[in-house]
Amino acid sequence: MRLTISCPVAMIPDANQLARCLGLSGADDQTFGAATWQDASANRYAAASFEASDAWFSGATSPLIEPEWGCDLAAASRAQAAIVLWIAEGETEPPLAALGKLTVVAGLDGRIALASMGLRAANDASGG
Amino acid sequence: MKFVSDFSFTSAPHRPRADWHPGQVFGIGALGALCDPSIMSSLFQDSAGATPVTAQGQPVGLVRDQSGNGNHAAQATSTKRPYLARYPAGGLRNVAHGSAAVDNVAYWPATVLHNGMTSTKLASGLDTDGLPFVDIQWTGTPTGTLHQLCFAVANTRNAASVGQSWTASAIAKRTGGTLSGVYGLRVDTVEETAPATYVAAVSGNLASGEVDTISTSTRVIASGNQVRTAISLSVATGAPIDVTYRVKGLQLELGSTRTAYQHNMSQYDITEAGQRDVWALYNDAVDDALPVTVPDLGTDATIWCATEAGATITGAQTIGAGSLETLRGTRTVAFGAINRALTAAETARLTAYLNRKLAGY
Repeated sequence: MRLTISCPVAMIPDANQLARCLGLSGADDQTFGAATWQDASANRYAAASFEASDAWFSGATSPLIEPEWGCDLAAASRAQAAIVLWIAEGETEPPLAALGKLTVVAGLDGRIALASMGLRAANDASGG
Repeated sequence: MKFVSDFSFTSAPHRPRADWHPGQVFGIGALGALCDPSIMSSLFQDSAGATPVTAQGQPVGLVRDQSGNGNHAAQATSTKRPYLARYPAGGLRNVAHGSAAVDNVAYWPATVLHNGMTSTKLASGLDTDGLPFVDIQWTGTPTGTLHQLCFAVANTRNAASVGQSWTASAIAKRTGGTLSGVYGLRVDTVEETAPATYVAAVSGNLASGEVDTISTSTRVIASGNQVRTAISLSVATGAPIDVTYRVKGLQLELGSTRTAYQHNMSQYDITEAGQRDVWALYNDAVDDALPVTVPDLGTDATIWCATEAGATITGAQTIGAGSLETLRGTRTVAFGAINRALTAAETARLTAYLNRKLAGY
């Protein structure tokens, strides 16, 4: 299932440690890069979108285990505690991206998911 | 036994005798890179090249360069990798992602409670006409007039523009139960404003009988910027219902009429009977990247690519040493760069080659 994650700029270092912890190699600590998305208040976010395995889901919802390539478990745990997960089923609307939260939308196309979180590309002058 | 040899110094790794290949423009001293996702043996799921790509829907972490320069495109961060995808050469029309994935509960859930009614997927498979079907039973006592959640419609959300016509359609017939309290099954086209604000919807005609009936609805986008579909069981409230429908061929497409069904298993796997498959790298347009590191290609370089939008060849490019992105659209079919201008003959051959790729050859 495709996951799309919005990460407030202040949480990027922690979120990248979580990505490194749950990922496939140490290179996954580059998951959240430039904060090129923004909400209605012009707060900036980085975003990632990918097909998550069952192992990723179970890892994200269980006590974290340091991978063989290492990670900062304290930072990763802080990011894990900030996860808000929404799955595209039923009638509920996805949550808006929020400062202090790693908002995870599951089951939607990446761009649609980001729009559903109230985010748009920071260089998109249309406001849409 | 027949021996075929090529000892020329300009020989390229992939240079079929019968068909011209852009590897042929890379002669002695020609620098650059050449990516061809249709050569599956050049694709690997990881950036180290340990795990080959064997099917659509798998991530692509490494594309081996076909220019002979060894400039492979790679992505070390797993979440940023594109996916191998295929789509019909005639064009991608059906954006109801997962409509053909009838045994996948992510698209066609096993049971869903909505407005007092429970939809239960009884069976799925291929119908006699070759269309994937789902048999769904609805039971319960309705507290509302519709059950709309037997298919995960979020997968059908698509960007739309004011003035566009969008058509949703599906084929349905009643295969069990009764019409007591049931008006029928229909397909709606729903206009929204992103993220998910309802604007308006057009309801399709009701399918209620025991023969295949196409329910179709067309909505001209009036003010929104997004469209989706919904499969709606229309009922009366307050009385118990028990009805089963066979549903197949769900399609959401641009235009005002239903066209030939495209089997949409996911956004990575869309096929159509009678159409060749076009292989591409699917870019989520959020964070995917598959860069190639190239040397200085100078100030008269040429870049080409083929995407779902068409083929382009751009000359007189200044490309310094460093990273060059190979993903050029939502679906990248071919990409190349070389440190020189192409001749008119080479440009013509390359144009024909890229168009052949877009035609699924």
